[in-house]
Amino acid sequence: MRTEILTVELQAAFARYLGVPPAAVDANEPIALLGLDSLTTAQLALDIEERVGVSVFLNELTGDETIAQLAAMAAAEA
Amino acid sequence: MLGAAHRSAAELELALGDPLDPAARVSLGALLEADEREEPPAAAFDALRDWGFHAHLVPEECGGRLTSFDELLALVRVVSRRDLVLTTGLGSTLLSAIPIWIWGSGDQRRWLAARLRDSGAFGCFAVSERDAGSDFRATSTTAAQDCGGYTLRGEKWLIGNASRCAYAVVLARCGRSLSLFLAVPDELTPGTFRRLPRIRTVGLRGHDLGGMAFEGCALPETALLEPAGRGMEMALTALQYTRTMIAGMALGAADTALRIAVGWARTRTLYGRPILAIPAVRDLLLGGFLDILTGECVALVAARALTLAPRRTSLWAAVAKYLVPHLCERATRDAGSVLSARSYLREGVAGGAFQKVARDVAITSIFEGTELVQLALIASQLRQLAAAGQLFAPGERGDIARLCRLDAPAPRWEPRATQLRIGDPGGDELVDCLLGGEPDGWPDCERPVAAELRAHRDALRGEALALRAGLAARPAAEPDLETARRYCLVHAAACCLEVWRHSRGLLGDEAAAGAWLALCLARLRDRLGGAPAAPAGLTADACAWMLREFEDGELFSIAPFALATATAEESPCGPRS
Repeated sequence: MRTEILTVELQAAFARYLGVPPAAVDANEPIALLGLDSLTTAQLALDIEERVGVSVFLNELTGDETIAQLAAMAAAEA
Repeated sequence: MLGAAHRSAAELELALGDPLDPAARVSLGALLEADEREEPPAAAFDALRDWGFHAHLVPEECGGRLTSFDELLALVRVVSRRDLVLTTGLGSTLLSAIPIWIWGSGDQRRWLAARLRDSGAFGCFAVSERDAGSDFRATSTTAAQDCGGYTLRGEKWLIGNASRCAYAVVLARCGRSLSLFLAVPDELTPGTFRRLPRIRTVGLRGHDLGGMAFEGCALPETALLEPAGRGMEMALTALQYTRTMIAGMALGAADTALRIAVGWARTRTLYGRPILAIPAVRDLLLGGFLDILTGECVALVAARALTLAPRRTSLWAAVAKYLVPHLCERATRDAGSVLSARSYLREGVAGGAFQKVARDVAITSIFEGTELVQLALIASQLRQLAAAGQLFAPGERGDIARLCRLDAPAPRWEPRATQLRIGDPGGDELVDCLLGGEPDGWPDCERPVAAELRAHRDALRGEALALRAGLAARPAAEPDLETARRYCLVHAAACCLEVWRHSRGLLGDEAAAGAWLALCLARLRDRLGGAPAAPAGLTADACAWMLREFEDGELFSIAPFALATATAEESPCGPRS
């Protein structure tokens, strides 16, 4: 359940930076393919921490991870 | 300069004396000698210590005198018009202090405040590495966590104050992420820490640029700046403060370059008259003067925003860091053209000071992120604004009058309230102003000036609209540095216009009349791809103002700021050939 909530939150955060509706952000697509540059990704990680209260260090990931995987990792750490 | 924010700068200016006076406490002559010897200007650093400059690097809440950043910007200009080696050393100290002020423990803050206030210590921002430049994520220095602390391994390179610092803030990889650590060389185990040899440079020959090697260096647990894992974000946040101050460094250096050239042009006679009468010479000098004024407006807004509109500073600090050095380096080059062969001599006019300024100022567009790095930061944030629909659209607008009305200092800095923010600036209310219709209370000025201002404002509004449309059409494209450059010019135009509109009643007659503003806007439009020639009357007015500021011994600035005068009989800033 926690993972699902986090997935929705992450989708919303990515959507804001991509300028698209949350539903248009595919939670199963590698984040590197979503079209964000590194600075934006790093700011996004800070926002996620603020909103969701878990630290997602996007800057250390390879970019192959999907939002669904990130949510599962964050849920496990929380 | 104006108001309470500039009182301390006026005091410092008097304390340091006229730099062209050999008897001054800090003279260009002595600074040039240190440069020739490739040694730090020790006596000048002592003069700054004696005056209490280091207290201005310590926030008020830690017992210092650092209040607002517009005050610090004015101090930086005053020192930089003498020697950028001084402000580079102090700038690295500030940059490495800021993370401690914001994220340090009470003990760390007390320790640092005492070191700066009492002994004028130097600090080192130990982030850069040989193979990691602006790519923080390539950082290879590690901090391994062990019982009761950390073990540092790796090398930092091209870092300021490396051999003389009393403290260093070190970026290191700890586990999966990057963190910042406070290292105090005096407290490190001998044999585990080495300072690397000084690195030789084209300019700033008296600067202490070098490196550090950590070879299994033990740090206590308390060395970590919390939150762990946010070292890159902390470094990028801290840089927003010093990048804004670098604009003041460039402005100070360009003032000296232009001052030397104007003094020369007034007295140098060729073809039977002073070369100032040659239109091409006058245009070069006036262009430099106007670019200094434009840079000043951009820098003032960025510095005031650090405490008035902190969310904007991830964007505006990058704009100031890109544009102001760019303009000031151009102004310096043009001053060199006026000096012609004299610009190449290490003696003669002003004791040969020009060539040193020209070598030194070149650093301002390089360090703490080159022009390309700043433009990439700006391009990324413009896309963020476009995606969020905040691109020059009224959102949570800051108070433009407070940003641009210069008689009240910006609020004092509260380091503990500073948030990590490396992007997502939320908007640009200055450019919003351009996009709006004609502003309320458009000042009534003389007809030719008013007509020029309206025409330029309309054209710049068109530029802003085109930028918005272009970005909206390509929200996820690769970083577009040309769009970022154009945005900087439009933002600069908005800064000039709004500072003038809101502070006009506080300025002297020449600044209030607005000829300079019309000419600055014309130059910005020219950089955007062409502007009609300016009416001769405006050019003559602005040129007369530049010469009046020179003759009265005032800083080249939109607001009056008296410079220290020489004790000798000769003209305070005239050429010494």
